[in-house]
Formats: sequence, structure tokens, C-alpha cells
Amino acid sequence: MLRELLPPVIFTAFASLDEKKIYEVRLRRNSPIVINYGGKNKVLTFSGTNEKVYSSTSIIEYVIKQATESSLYAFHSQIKQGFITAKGGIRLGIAGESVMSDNFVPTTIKNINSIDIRLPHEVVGCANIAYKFINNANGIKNTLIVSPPGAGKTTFLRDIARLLSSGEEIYNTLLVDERYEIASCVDGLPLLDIGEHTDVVSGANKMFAFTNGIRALKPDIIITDELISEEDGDAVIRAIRSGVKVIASIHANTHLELKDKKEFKELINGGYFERIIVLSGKNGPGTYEGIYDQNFKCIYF
Amino acid sequence: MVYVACIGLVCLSAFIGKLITKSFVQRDKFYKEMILFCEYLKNNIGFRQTKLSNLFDDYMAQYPKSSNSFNYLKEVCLNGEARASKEQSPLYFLKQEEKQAIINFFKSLGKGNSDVELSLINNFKTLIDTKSKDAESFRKTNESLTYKLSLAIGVVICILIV
Repeated sequence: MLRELLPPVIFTAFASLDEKKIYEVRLRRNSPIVINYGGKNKVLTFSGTNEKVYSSTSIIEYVIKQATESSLYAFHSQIKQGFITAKGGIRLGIAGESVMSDNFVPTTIKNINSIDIRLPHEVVGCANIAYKFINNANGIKNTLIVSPPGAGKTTFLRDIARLLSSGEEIYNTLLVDERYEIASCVDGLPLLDIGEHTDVVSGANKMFAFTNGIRALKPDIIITDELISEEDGDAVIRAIRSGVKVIASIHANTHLELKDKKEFKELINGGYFERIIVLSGKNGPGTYEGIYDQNFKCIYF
Repeated sequence: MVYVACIGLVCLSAFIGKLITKSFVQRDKFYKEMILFCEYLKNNIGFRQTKLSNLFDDYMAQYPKSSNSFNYLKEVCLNGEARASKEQSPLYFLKQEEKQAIINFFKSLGKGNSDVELSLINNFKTLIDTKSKDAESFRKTNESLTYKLSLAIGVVICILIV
């Protein structure tokens, strides 16, 4: 995956590394390339030497060209939001100069100076413990996955989708993959295992995807990535009220921080989520910190 | 023996005539294909925002006889002229400035948002429409004439020999 994205001369520095342990590659113009290898940040050096590998304008331009497959227009809606999802589900966060319209709406990003390349890792079975609490004799529970960035929420959600959609009982699962991160669809085809009975809507905002998905696809369960805004919270509430189970994720360090999120006041205080699963990166991504019920009572630690 | 040589000479002159007129036909055909391709680009970039590599592959699957020229232009578009030139260019039938205009267009594709791309394609199509009319008119005027002239030269040479 990285081979297609990076210039060959840079890729040679990865020859002695295990690609399965590479989580991130950070390129900053005229600075040494930093990788997250096995959970730790380190400066990339050429194999067998201490010579640091530096990024440059031409390397960044090359990576963008490769990631967009020479078709910038096809990724324009992603670029103005600050990301690109490339083949294989590789996520690139981009930083540069935002170009704003007259009413301060971002139209694009130019002069990109840094890229954070995040490699997807499928960890089959990482949600096995949580699954028993999400799907039990009483049925599927509306669930919220809580964790800080980089703690494995997306990998976890993917595994939940796989488990829910592959069991003996057939649940029609709708995966709302706003940033193409969970299913990693390329040309409409999911590259990662999200189960046999999962429909994927990529690239659409949650309100649109939820509303139209419920009308057109009649899902039993909706799985979605990060809830960011009040509108995302409203979409979840509407779905739950219409009888669809929802499993979503949110950024926070602990379940207690949820009450401080004013934009989700109704969602959290309304007790819509019957299960709250807290993850961290303490012992690697996906570390369980606790599973709670809608009253914030701990049911697994 | 002389008569055999004359027949051979006339056949050769006919063949040369055909070779020369082939480039007229190919130029005319190429510009008509370009017009079709521009419409294809407009639909797929403007509406579906199909990536360029997929766009070329889908087009060549639909129109396999165009593959030769379009394989070269795909390379120019995705990997640059320098890499594409390693293979022999199939656009020999175009004048140098025409060939450069086509290459410049394909090199420019994929670098802006869909509005920019559509504007680029529309401008290019305006140029291509003019070139296509010119190529068709040139072929109609000169194809038959050139072939007959070539044949006539062959016959005259035969007469002189005999």
C-alpha cells in the first residue's frame, strides 16, 4: 500500500520495517519523516544507516498525485475538508493554506506543507468482548464507542460491523462511512471485512445518509464513525426513535467527559445509548477501559 | 520483363498514394474521436467525477479500436510526456503543433476541481471542433486527388521507360 504512495527512493527506507506495525507516516516539508512504528514515534532513517530521511515539496506533491490518482477533482470534496482517502483505505490528513470563499466557506487547500498518512489495520476479533454486551439475549443495544484519537475506534467499529453482519441471525446493517475510513471503499467496493449483510454509504454526511438510508434500505442497525456536531447527534436520535439500532463513536478520554459535550446534551442525557464502551491506547490501540450502561454504571472493567 | 516492371511500378505508386492518404483519413478520424472523448470526459468528470485512470479504461473498453492513440494519451495524462514518449507515439499523422496542443491538454487534466476541468474541456473541444472540420475538408479535397496523382506519376514513369 505504501509502495504505491511514496516515491521509490523514500520507500527503500521502509525495506527493513514490518508494514503491519506501521500506523502512521508523517511528512512535513523540509523536515525528517516521522513514523509511528508499533505505537511509538520515531524518525525514519535509510536502512542500515543513521541518515534521516527528509521530506520535501516534491515528495509531498508526489504523494498527493499518487493518492488522488492524478484526479484532483474526484477528491476535491475531501481535500477542502482536510483529508484524502486513498486506495486501500489509507487516510491522508493534509495541512496547508485554506482557500476560503467570500462567506468563509473553505473551497480548497493549497500549498500543502504536511501530510499525515494513516494506514488501516484490520484486527479481526478486537470487538469480541464488547460484542457480548452489544448483542445479547435481549437484542442489539444502541452503543457509543468513546476514545481519544488514535485509540482504535475505527478498527473497533469495523469489527463490530463484521460480527453483527456475519452471525447466524441476519441483521441488515447500514454502514455510514462519511470519511471512507471504516469500509475503505474503492470504486464502491469495501476493501476490508465488514460482514456479508452490510450496505455502505460513503462520503455523505450523517443526516443525509441516515434519513435516506432508513427510507431506502430499511436497516436493522446503523453503524457510523465519529459524531462531531449537533446535527450528527440529531441524526442519531431520529434513527433510534424510528426503531433502528445505532452504533457510533465519539472523541473523549472517558465516559464522564460526555456530559460536558453541550452539542450532544440531548443525546447523552436522554439515555439513548444503552452501552458505552470506553477505549484507550494505554496498552496499544483498542485497550478496554470499561463498558457502561445508559446510567453510566460499569458492567465490565 | 519491362512490362512486369511497369506493373510493379504502378502498384508501388498506388501503394505510396494509399500510404499518404492514410494519414489524411487517420487525422480526420482522430479528431472525430476526440470530439466524442470530450463529451465522454464532460459527462464523467462533471457528473460522476470518475477518476482519470478508470475513465480511460472504460472508454477504451467501449471503443477498442481507439486503443492505440488513447493508450499513449493515457500515459501522457497519468505519468507525463517523458514517460509516454518511451513508446513510439501513434500520433504521427498530426502536425507537430497539433500534436503538442493535444499533449498539453492531456497533461493539464486532473489538476483542478470539476468546474476547472469542465472549462478546460470546453475550451479544448472548441479547438477540436475547428480542427475536425479542417481535417474532414482536407481529406475530402485531397484524398482522391492525391491517390490519383500518385497513380498518374507511376503511369507516366512507365510510359517514359517503355
